[in-house]
Amino acid sequence: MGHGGNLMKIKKDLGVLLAVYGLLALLPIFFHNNMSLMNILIISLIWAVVAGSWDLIMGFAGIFTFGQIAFLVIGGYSSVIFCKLFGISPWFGFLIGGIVAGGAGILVGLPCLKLKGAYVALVTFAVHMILEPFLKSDIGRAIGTGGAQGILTVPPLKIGSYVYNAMEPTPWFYTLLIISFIAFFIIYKVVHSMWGYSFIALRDSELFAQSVGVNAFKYKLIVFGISAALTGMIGGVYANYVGMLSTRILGLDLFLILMVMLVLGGMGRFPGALLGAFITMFISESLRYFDTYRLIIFGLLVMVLVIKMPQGIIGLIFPLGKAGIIERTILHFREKKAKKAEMIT
Amino acid sequence: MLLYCKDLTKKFGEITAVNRLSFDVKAQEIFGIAGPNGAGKTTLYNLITGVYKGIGEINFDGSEINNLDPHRICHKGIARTFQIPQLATSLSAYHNIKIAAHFGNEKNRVDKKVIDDVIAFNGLRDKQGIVADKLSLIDKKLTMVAAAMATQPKMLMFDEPMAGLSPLEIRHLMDLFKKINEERGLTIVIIEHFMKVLTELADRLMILENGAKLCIGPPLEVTQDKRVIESYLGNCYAESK
Repeated sequence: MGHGGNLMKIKKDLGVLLAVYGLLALLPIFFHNNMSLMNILIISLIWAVVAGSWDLIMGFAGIFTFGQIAFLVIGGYSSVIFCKLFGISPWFGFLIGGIVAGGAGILVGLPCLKLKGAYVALVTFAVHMILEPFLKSDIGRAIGTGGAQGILTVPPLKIGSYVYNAMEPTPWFYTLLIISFIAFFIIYKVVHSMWGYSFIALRDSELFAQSVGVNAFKYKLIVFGISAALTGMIGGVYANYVGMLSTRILGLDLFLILMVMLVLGGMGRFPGALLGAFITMFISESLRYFDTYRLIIFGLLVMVLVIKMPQGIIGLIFPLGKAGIIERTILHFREKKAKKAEMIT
Repeated sequence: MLLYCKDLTKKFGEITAVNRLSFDVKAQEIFGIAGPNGAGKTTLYNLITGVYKGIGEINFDGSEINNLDPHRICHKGIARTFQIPQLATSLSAYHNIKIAAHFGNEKNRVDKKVIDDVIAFNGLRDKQGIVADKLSLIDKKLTMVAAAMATQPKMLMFDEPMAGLSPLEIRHLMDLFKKINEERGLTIVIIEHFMKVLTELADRLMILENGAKLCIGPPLEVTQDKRVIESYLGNCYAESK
């Protein structure tokens, strides 16, 4: 067997990504008048980027960080605060959100490099926990976080003379489609680059990776930076889409939903997080009537998925080392055709 | 000499795993290390390759490598394998070797010729596309050797490479190590429990006991040393000879 299988996998990953985005691009043609559905799709695209970035560090690099929402919030707040302070366009604000969150990711990553497993999770979750009181504090208020109330007015997003607004979801949808595609394309490129292979090698065996020259310190910091930067950038977009930003987003609801997206999609299986985000959002919406029981159902779902479907949806379609649903179906029809041909002869 | 260690010491709390150990390895020789379990053989490897930090002097190819990180030591020209196979298990054998070829040099440049060469040299052409986790034990060990060679080292350190292998596979690895040493001119340091392997392969042999050097010299002399027979080989081995 040659190493052509890996090239096939790279092409397959890109193929799945393009197919999913191609299908998504068609949806507004049928549903552009359905405000609620369009809103779910837009939010799904936002959470998909967060889940995808989280998957990069947790699934591919094997670093158990629980600080992803903190980076989302850091990116969101810094994007809006910079736009308000300096009067810059929100488009630049998104970039600034990414840069600030990326820097925060590297800072948080530094103490984590000496730790392993659950300890990294604890340190990063501590950042998540510290963030809310900080944003609500006097220092937070002084830098423009709006304290407990949050930021209630966000400078609107514009293209030329067109101003994005909540009543027209289609432009928002296509903008998010492009932004999230860029984010996923970056993740795709990283995963299939030598950086990506170094992340996987460090995850699978740090001893091996270091013995063949991988600088664990450098590449772990890089993955912290990229993952936090993409999340921070989408945090700015989120703030703009919702039109406000408060610390409520730091609650456990979103944390749990993002976790379900990761596990359901398939951790470390590109582009599982993208599929997981959409499926989870639709499950979440259909469970809305269960009110407080929704989180209990989500918690149970995580447990069942981890035990029964450790490779997630993407593992069901493309399982590692054996034929998936698509290949099995093709094989089934080929066998049927061959039998038919045999009967005729 | 290529590698020179002086008064190397490593303590884990109260336990001294390596105790004021001094020895040298000459360029292009095969240097064997043996000793009872817990003698400090793997700890010594971990000290030389930067996994552990210890006290004492380690000089490789004219420069001090004490307290360097493992990746820097790899860049200096020391590559190693592990007793329990260590690989990027979810990647193919080819990608494991490619990672080594890319990151094994400071410039992080992949030379495809190097990858193809070590794959062919280690007989992995038909297996390069297989995910490392699915490889047989011997193929995992060969992939580790190939990855180590892909870093283009001056010295290879093998940690109990024959563990778990059949006699035929052991013979295959022994022939391969000889070929690496003779054809590629690489220095080899090898920890092994099979004395037959060491006596046939090694130019010199060092026996460790309780982290210290018990005896060093040509294999035939070392295996006849009274202290070595008493503390490690046993009388049965001596009588069988």
